[in-house]
Amino acid sequence: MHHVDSRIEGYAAWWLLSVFALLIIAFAVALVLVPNQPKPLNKHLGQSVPTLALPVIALEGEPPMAIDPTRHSLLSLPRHANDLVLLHVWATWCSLCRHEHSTWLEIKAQYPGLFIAGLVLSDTPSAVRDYLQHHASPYDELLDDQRAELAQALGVLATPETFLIKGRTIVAHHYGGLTQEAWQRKFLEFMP
Amino acid sequence: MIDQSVMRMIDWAYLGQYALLLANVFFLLAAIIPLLIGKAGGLFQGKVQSAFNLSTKSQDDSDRWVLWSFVVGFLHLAVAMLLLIICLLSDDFTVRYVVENSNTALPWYYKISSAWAGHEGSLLLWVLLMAFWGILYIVFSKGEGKASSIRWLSLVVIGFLLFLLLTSSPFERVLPQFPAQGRDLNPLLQDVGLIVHPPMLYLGYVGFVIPFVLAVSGLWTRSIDRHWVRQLIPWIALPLGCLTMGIALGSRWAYYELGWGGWWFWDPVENAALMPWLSGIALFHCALMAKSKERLLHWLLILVFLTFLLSLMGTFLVRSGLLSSVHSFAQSPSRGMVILTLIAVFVGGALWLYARRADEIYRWSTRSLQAAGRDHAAKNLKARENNRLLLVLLANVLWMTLLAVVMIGTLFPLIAAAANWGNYSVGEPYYHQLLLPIAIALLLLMGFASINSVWQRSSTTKRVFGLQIDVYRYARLTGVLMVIISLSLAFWLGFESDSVRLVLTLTLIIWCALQLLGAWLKNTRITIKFMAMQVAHLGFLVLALGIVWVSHRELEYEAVLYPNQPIELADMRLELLGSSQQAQANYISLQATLQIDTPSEQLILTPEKRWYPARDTVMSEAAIHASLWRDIYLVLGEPVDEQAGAWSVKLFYKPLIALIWIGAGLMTLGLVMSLLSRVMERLKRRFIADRYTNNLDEWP
Amino acid sequence: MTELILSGHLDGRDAIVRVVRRMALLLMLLLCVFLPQIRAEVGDQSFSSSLVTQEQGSRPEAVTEQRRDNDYFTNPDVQARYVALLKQLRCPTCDNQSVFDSQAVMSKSIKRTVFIELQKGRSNEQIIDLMTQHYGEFIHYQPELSMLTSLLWVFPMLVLIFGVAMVLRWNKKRPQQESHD
Repeated sequence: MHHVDSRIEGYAAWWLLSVFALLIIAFAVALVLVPNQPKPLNKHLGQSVPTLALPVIALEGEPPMAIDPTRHSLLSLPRHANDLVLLHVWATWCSLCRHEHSTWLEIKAQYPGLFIAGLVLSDTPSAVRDYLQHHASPYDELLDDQRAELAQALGVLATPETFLIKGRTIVAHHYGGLTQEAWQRKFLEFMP
Repeated sequence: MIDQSVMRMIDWAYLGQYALLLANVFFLLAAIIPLLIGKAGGLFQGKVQSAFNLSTKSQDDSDRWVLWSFVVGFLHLAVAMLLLIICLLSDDFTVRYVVENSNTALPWYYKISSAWAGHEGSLLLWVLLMAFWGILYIVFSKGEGKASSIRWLSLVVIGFLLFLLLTSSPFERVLPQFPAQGRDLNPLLQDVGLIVHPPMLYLGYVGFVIPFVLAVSGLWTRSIDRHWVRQLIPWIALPLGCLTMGIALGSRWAYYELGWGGWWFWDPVENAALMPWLSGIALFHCALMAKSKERLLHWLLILVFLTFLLSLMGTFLVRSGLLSSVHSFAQSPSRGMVILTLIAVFVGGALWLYARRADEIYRWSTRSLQAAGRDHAAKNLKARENNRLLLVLLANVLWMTLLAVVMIGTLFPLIAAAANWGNYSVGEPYYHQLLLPIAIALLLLMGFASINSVWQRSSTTKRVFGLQIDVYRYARLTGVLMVIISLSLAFWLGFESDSVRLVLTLTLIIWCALQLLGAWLKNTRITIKFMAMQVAHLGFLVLALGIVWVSHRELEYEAVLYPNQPIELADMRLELLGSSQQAQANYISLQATLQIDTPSEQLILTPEKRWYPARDTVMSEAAIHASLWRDIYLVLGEPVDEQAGAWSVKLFYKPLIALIWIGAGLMTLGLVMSLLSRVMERLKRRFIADRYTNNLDEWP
Repeated sequence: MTELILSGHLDGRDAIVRVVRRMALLLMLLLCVFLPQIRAEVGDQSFSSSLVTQEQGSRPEAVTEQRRDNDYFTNPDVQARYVALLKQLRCPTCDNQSVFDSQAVMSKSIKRTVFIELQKGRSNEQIIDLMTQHYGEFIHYQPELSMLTSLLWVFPMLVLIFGVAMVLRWNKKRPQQESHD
């Protein structure tokens, strides 16, 4: 009687072997498909920008801002309704942001007409002003997101991050420090 | 400590590379010697023997040569490790590994431990330990077929050694222009825990290679039987003990070094170590049962392969870059592909061999019994043995289910990302939800198994699901007892809704402990083996108690402290006495001194913030006042008001958390004791050999 | 009670067993005597209920401001929900760490949002939904049940059912006999 059973066990063993082979193939495929350290795609790509009023950080030379609701919510501002806005999420305490600063200056030089907005996370306005005085400023407007509220609504993982907004819709997005290579790959096609 | 100029006179890294190459040659020799000088003169019909003037009694000779070349190969690996450490100690920044993992300012003991902090060095340690298990096996095993197992082991070692040499050599150079300073060891890893934790963990991980090669060699030489199982058991118990200890040390390290107050984070890397452990436990229990049940041999073999597969899978996941984690190494997919190929070759080959021979196993395993004129397979089990067998098998199914939970939880985000189904996170809530019921079922089975060991037949015996149970006795021992325990616990803890789960789990734990105690009292012949089992099971209970209690009763506070302005947190008074800044060898430390007055004692704790300039990283060093009853765990948050010297601090009160590590320690102790029992039995057999000859099959 | 506990096991008449049994009883009595102390060390329910009481130093405004920033609810039930929610959410910035454990800027921002939403009286589901709107499924440590994620529960279930079925089948097939110990 046990002969019959042992033949069944033999079949089971071959079955096991094929499951194992499938597993190995699946892992090999995963290894090819999954990029190193996968990051979640930003959920808001293709969606409209959340509107949230934030105070503006006035740079040197500009008069200190009074609380003015129209200037407080840049991203819902009518004058930019059909323009391109490049939104850069950064902070002075973030070392990666310091590394990418030169790229931002290059981009501003390349596209002087492009509206670049900086979203400053959890920082003090005076530190931001000092920083931008020492290194030139590529920003047309700076928003003070003290509690990272807008950043959260935008699904920001960490500083730095870059969003390209066209007519209030987010059309492109980049994680981490911006390089010329990343710029060409992700944002160049939207430039006029 | 060591005169650098003398150290620089010799090119250590060059020697190291050579040692690795030579090691590879010797392992290769160990694998192929029998082909040259094996049976009937080997491939070259005796020409090799006559050329080297060897005797022609070739089988013994070839066996001896296999073992010796393996030992020499191991020595070369050990020398390579030593040379890597010398490179680190002498700050040889022409070596890439030293640049990436060390720094002149690093204390000497961290320089040594950085030999296994990076990918290349830890892989060298991995291979070295694999060979070390081979040495242990050569020294302590006394079976025939030793050389055959060592040949298979050599093949596995060669695979990993080639991986090391071809894709990630620790002795690779940065020439001609090398930096004057290294990038320093990751501050997270600059800790005493790291000196002991990885070697211990790896010893456990890698140790499962011995059961693996024993299985392969047993299948190859068609010698899988009862005797084979008996010699397999210690080689499961030892790595399992090391793995238990390694995981416990790792969790302890995470507890005081990561500074989040947790001790297990369901991190993919932790899970990668947990999976072979879960499967190892099932394997160990299965081996204990298979000693006398031939039909379990299939399960045993599959579990051996699974455990080895999981320990390889762990290193694959950690080093290939598929998972992101706090603990992972610098990764590259090409390395992952190589490890995957190794897994496919080794485990796939073993499974193929098993599939070819699965039909025959039953025949081999009963061969000796039939020769002795007995047919054990047809022998009926006593009800007690039958019950115990069934319970252990069910428990194994539960361990496998636990494994399935951890495995799918770890791999699911990966599968979803690979198939482009979106990004998912699987974490603590998921694991807690599923592990709790399984753990409860495991506790129940453990308790039942303890009763079962004192089972007696009576008039009220009934068959329930294959178990032969004395129904009234069981009802009394379980139902009544549990009601009493849970009622008294409820009176103690209060009848609030949030303590229901606590009361339930505690009831089970106490009930289980009482069953263990009962089994102990009832047992008239207490052997070391029995004690080992009891200690290991007690360890499991202690671990469970620690986990349950700390997760239900831990408290956490956050507060802002100004110097010399005490605040009250519950019944504790917390005061910041001051803070001071000091420059250490490779970091700058900011240390706060706090005084905590609890109703019974006064404690001074000094949590720290450390800034490591080489990597521009800030680390929080928690201050922990540990005792058996509770830990007080204090971490510095952020400076709130720098002028006033105010800090935000986090304070955790963790009752009975020490039980988690004590429990793990007891489990390890139990495993070690089970080895001791074998040593004792062997001694006993030697002294009274003539009285009990050939009693091998009589053992339970 | 102790008699009952032990009586199940101890019907041996051996003298040694009786001695051990008495020792066990003594041990239990001692345990009962020292239980209050152990409880004082380990249990402390007074500890958790007085979570919010705090002596105000000479800078009460700063301290309370900061305390509010770290977010404590006076209602222990809401506080428990708050902590549980933070443990279910994943820190976007870190490598596999919960928002509860993390001090990253984004984590603080999420903590605050959860706090505010709880104050508004939102349910756990609503809050998780909001965070999923911001970050996607990635943010939640326990994925919502769907066709895809059901794999997480179905796979272990299959292993369990398959295993138990195998064991029971195996047991049934084995020759059995009522034997006597």
